[in-house]
Amino acid sequence: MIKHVTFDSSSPGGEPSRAPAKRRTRRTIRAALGALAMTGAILLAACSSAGASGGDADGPVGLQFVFIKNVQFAGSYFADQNGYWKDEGLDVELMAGGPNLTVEPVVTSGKALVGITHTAQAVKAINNGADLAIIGAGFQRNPFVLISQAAKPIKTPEDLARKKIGVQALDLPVFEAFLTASGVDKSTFTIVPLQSDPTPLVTGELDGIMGFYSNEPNFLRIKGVEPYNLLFDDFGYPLMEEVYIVKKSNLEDPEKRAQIVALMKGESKGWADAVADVDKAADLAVNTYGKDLKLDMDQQIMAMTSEVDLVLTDDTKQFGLFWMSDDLIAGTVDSLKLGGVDATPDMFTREILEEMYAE
Amino acid sequence: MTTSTMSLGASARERRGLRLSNGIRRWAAPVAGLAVLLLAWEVVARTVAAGKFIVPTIPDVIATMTADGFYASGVATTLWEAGRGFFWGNLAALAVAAICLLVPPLKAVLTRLALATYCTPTIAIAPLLIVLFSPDDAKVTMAGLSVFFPTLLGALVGLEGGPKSALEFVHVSGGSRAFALLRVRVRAAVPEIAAALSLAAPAAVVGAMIGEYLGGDQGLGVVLVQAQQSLNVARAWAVAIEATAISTFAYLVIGALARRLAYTVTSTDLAVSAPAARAKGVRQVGLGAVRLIASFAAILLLWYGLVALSGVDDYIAKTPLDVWTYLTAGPDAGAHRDVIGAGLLKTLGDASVGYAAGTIAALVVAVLFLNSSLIEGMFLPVVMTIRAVPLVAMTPLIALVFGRGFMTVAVLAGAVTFVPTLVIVLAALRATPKPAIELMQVYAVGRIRSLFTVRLAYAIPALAASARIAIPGSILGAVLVEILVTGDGIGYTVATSIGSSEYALLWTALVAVSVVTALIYMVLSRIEAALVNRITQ
Repeated sequence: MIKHVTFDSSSPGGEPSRAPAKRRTRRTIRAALGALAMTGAILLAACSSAGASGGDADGPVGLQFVFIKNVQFAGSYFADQNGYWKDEGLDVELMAGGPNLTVEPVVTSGKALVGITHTAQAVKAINNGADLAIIGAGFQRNPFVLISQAAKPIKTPEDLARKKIGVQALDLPVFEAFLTASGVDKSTFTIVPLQSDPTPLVTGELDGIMGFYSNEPNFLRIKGVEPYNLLFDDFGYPLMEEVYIVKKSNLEDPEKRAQIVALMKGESKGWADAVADVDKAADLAVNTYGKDLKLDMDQQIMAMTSEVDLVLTDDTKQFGLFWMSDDLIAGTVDSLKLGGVDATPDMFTREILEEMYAE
Repeated sequence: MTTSTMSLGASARERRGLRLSNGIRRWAAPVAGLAVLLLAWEVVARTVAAGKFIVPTIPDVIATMTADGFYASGVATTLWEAGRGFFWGNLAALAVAAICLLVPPLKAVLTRLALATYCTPTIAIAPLLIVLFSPDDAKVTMAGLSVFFPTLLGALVGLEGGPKSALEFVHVSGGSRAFALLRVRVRAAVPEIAAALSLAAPAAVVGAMIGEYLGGDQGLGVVLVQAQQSLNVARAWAVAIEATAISTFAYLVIGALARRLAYTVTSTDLAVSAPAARAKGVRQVGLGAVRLIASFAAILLLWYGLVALSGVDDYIAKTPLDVWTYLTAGPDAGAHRDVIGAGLLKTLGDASVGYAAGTIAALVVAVLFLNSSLIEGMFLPVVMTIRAVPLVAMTPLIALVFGRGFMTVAVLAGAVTFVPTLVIVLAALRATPKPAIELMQVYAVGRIRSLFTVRLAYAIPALAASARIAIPGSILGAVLVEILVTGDGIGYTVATSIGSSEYALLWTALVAVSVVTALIYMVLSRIEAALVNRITQ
């Protein structure tokens, strides 16, 4: 049992002697190898429990949303429900997002084939080396609003002076772009961080918050707080939003490209249904796809009604949903540039839209 | 009452009565404490906070919770994530602790790496986690990361402090380190490991909920996101309270289980857990430097290895060289250094405020508890639940009450350090050697004076020990406050760099925080060793 006597230098009174030192080294090496094996085993076990939802040829492909499954993504629910993707031979997994999720890494890593994200975020990712392309725009109008209480409204960008405004960290690039576009000096008022929670506006702690046309204003209305909406779109800041992004190299891969076209076709049919039946759209969100989120039916109907304003324009009626006209691209690029977001027209491509509407 | 109990003898009935009243006494105080808090809540909800959408009334919360079916599917999802995170995180922590004891040279590297996982807010590495893992496993990983370091620290303290005589016996008999670890250290460490595991339970639940802010179809965190966004304050509170209750329950159950398993340590000569006094001399210093460089090199190597092996897109995963280039090369390097430097300074300031606030509060509460068993009985259980409250749910309330400056930093970052400091200091104040207290009594020194002269002197090493977890904790707390409320410091740099895909900035900021925390941790370990030596000599 007891093989050899050694002294550990860390033990009290133990002075390492020469002879056993070699053995000790050997033992340390053996122990280190054992330790490595142990760590390896744990890592392996941890990894094997991590089911990879990669993009195999016949496995499901992912569609990554930018937020939780509320009515904001109603078109996708229709596409799934009515089997538009199944008709294309595609199995699509709808991936929920959240306040802390960034869509771009999910798409570049191949975990999702297509992602729905904010335009400024996508452009910044491309500028920082992400291999992405913007292939369509869910919202044709800029959905961002500066919300204040109707009793104490912020009606123009100039009204911002000496106010305290809450902006989510992920929306900051858009807000800064808007400030530059409207010539407002950032130092004349205060910006504080906001979570996806309009409470500080209601409590009066903040004078305004940046929000989404179809979300926060409706939440406030339902709670009996009348909001005043300053639409960015009305103040020289056009922007397409809810853009669809894909990995750019996938556009060159015939198989992946076919999948992208099929996915966008189903998505387009789904959105056509959604804008035509607002109640059904809300119902799908509340009772099927977001059934564990405790969504409010009235509020979801209001949100969807607002969304229709953003999705349908003369362009989409003429060319098809998600269309990115040259004017829209140019306006978006200009708006973003004003905010220091270096957008260029070649980040946007109509090739998928053209292919899917060609038939 | 049944006939069998009626027929019990008088003495047995008396004994039962006595036990019952003891039981009542044990439960009455915490219940009374809870009642006081609930009453205060209801009063606030109906007066100052009425109609402001931040503090709902208790009936509102109960009605919402019942109508929502107690969020059964959300609870199941969150617990499943938290449970797996608890398992893997603790398993990894225990394995790493064992490795540290079997191969002492690795300890420095491993604890430094572990420390980096602790002071990095999991939100900051979310982009990596969602690329490396499935959405579900990313949440499990976040829960696991939030238990890893505290359990490792608890296990190390326990394992290193085995009974001296037994360890020496094994040693002299030629038993290997592994033998000593398995037969002596593990048994002696059970109470420490049990304490660490019970603390890990609420941490795993909160970790999983923060993970759910990445999105998901189910889970308490997801319901909380929706409730907050749609201004459903009653629901947000219902979810937060349910999460707190579940965490507290897990803490109690695991604590009770662990206590049953606990091996009674009969030996009185526990080895001092603090680092032993270092021999001075050129050779020692040289060896120390070599170790430091070796662990630095090992960390860099591991970093490179992980980036290469994981196959993560290089616009997200940055190497040490990228970070170095970001700080030193190119025309913007100076500006980059300024951003990081200013952010770091602000964050350290915020962390100091939080640490000071948390420590002072913990000392005051500890002294209060020590002097009144009634107050302790009433509020200790409530205080223990602070750790289990998802702070994200409480942010709007705290920002409203305390503003977005100094006070909120003190409250939020202080809350992170308050509980561990309180627990450790309370234990130390209680453990003041009897002779010292008796000496004070013999000399008729008053309770208050003896508290300040003797007990607090014995609490100082405890404060130093708790600082090792509380100071990294306050840095983490400060970063979180900056992300959630104040919008400055390294925290905001982290949040905005993720939004704008500036990953070189993100990695550099995280490295900066980790390096600074590691340096502080090293200094603290030295100070603790020096203090322990002074007191025990």
